[in-house]
Amino acid sequence: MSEEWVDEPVVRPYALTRGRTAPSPRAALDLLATVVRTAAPAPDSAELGVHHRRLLERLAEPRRVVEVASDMGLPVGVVRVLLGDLLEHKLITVRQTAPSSTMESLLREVIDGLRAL
Amino acid sequence: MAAGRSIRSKIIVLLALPLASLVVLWGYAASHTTHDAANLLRVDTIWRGVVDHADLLVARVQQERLAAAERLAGADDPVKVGRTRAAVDEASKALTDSATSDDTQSALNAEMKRQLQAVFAAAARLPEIRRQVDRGALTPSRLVEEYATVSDAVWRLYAEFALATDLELYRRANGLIAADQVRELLSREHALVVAAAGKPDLQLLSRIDGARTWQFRRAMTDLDEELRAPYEKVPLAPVDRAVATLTSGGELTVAQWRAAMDPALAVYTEAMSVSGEALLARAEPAGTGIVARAAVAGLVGLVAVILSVVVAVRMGRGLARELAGLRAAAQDLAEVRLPHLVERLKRGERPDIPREAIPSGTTTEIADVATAFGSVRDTAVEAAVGQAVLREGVAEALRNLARRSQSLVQRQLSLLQEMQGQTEDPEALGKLFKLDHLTTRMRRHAEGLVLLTGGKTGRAWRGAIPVEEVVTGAAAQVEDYTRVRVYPMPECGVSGLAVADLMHLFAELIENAAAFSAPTNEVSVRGEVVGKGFAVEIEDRGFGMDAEQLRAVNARLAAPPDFNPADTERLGFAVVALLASRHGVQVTLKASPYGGTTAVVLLPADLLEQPEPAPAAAPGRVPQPRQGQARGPGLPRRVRKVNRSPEEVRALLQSDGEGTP
Repeated sequence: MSEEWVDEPVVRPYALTRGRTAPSPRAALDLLATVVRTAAPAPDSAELGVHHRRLLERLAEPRRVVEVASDMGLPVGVVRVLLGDLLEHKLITVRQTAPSSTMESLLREVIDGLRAL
Repeated sequence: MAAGRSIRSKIIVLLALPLASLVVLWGYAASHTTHDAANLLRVDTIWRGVVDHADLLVARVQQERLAAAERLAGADDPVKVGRTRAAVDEASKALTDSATSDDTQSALNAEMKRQLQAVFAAAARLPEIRRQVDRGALTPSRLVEEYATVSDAVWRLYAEFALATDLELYRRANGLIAADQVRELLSREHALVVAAAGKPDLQLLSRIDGARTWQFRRAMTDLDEELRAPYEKVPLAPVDRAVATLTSGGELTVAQWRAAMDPALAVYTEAMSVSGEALLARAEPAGTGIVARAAVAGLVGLVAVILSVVVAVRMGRGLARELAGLRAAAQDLAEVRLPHLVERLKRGERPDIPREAIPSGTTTEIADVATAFGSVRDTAVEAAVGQAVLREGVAEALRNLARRSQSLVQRQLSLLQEMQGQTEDPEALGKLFKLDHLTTRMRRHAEGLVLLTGGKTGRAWRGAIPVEEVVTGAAAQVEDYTRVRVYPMPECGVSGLAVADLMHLFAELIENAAAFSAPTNEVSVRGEVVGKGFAVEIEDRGFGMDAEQLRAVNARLAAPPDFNPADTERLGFAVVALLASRHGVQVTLKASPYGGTTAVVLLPADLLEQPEPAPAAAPGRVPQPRQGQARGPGLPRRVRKVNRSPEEVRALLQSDGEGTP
């Protein structure tokens, strides 16, 4: 009886955040908030691990939190904490989207998509 | 053979003493018999050189004396006197020549030489006696006495020649000498009566006659029957009667006397010749016997000695060689073959069990010892095989159990991963994280048991994984993972097939570092590219280990251990050593400047691969439990299969990668 498991995550999610489940400054990081990297250079510090750098690489363009999370295959809670760390080092900026308009544009996109079918 | 003497030297000591004794005894016997032979040779030389000639001299002096007696009586024949004197001179010269030759002289001792000189001196006085005879200046008694000096000197010389090696022969020879003296005494009586013309000095006559009678009896007792027989024919009775007539005052003419004495002397001389020949004939076999004895004692003894030495040396060497062979075989068995065999059995190999007999010799005891060694070997091998089988059985049972729990834990982790993706509530997520952490640690322990019992982790990744990620993943498996700080490392990947093993290795070292330092201290992990590969340093700030402990642990890390259920202490290091040797990784512990311990892990260059750059995410993909950092498309998969080798896994992974867009 030999089983093999291929391509599971190398680092368990709890280790990425050192066990934290909420971002430190309690920043209003909505799932639909857009984040983008600033021009500030990444500090050579152990506070930011390999996954912080990976995340930063993906934020050259403004992205939504939920998109980034699914892109990296990580729980949203984890991505939020990581983004909170980056925010603390002022490596990204957050643009909050009004919940209503976000909702409206989202619904519009859905309708457009359905029509196109 | 550290102490004591070798069997070879003991055998030499054992054999040397009897052999030396044998040689000495042989030498003694040989010299003894050789001495006898030499003595015989000497007697022969003396006989030919002296006795033969002296006998002749005495016989001729007797004749000269008789002729001189006739001259004194005035009834001489001048031709006869001259002839007898010439014969004596000839015999005297022959004796002198022969006795003074080097050959004879070398056989004589000092006393013999002295007596020989006395004989020469007596012979030298003969011319003086002759002159007195010619002048008529000697009385019959004086005549007898003067001539007697020669024969007396000869007898004294004979007395020195008591050189017999055979008692019987010696006695018979003595008898013959006595018989010879009897003839001399007869001859003296004859000369005395003839010189005095029938009127001798009666006192002298009776003295000589008494001596003759006594000496004859003595001679006859020394001779045996055969030698005595010729003398019994001698007509001595008329002589005795004639002497009795004279001594009792009767008268006898010279003619009457000669009628009694002449035949007696003639027959006596004949008898002496016969008995002398007979004795000589007997002495010859005795001499041959002596020479033969000497030859036998010498040659047979020598052959026996040589045979003994040869046999002793051959047997001694054979025994020593057999023992040396047995010792070499036993040492080879005890120090080389048996340990080697047990070592291979321990490693799980099934080597051919040697059944050949241990070489032994022809000696029963040595063969028995060799057989016993063979039995010991067979028993030891059986015990080792049994132990190996038992150990393997235990290991397999443990491996199976560990594999089952690993399988369950793996499923639990997948489930947790799914739940974490669906949870937004930080509190619930925190609890899931704790559960995840516990499960991860459970998996590590199960995996450790699988590894220790000879199994594989069973986890693999496609492509290369950055070392920093591997180390971070390893830190997550440790209880106190928040204290571990992984410092940024240069981009460098390791082969996906080795990731699980390396992660386990790092986890054990980090766990050790965390366990041996205070809960407030950080455990730092740093990495850099070095000449031979990639070095990772794991440093704690605990109390560290002393030099002795460090040496012991490093020795243990350098040698992969066997699975030993009895050795439960520091199982972590055993796993580290095992994994390090499997991948050619070098792990060294050293004292840290902070007082703690630094573990240096050197990954060899052939384990390193350049990590693939993370591909841009394909748009519109379903954001579901995507595990891994976008390392190739597709969901994480669990492959259930039986006994797949790493090569097969690699091939499978590659075909997967090609088969999907």
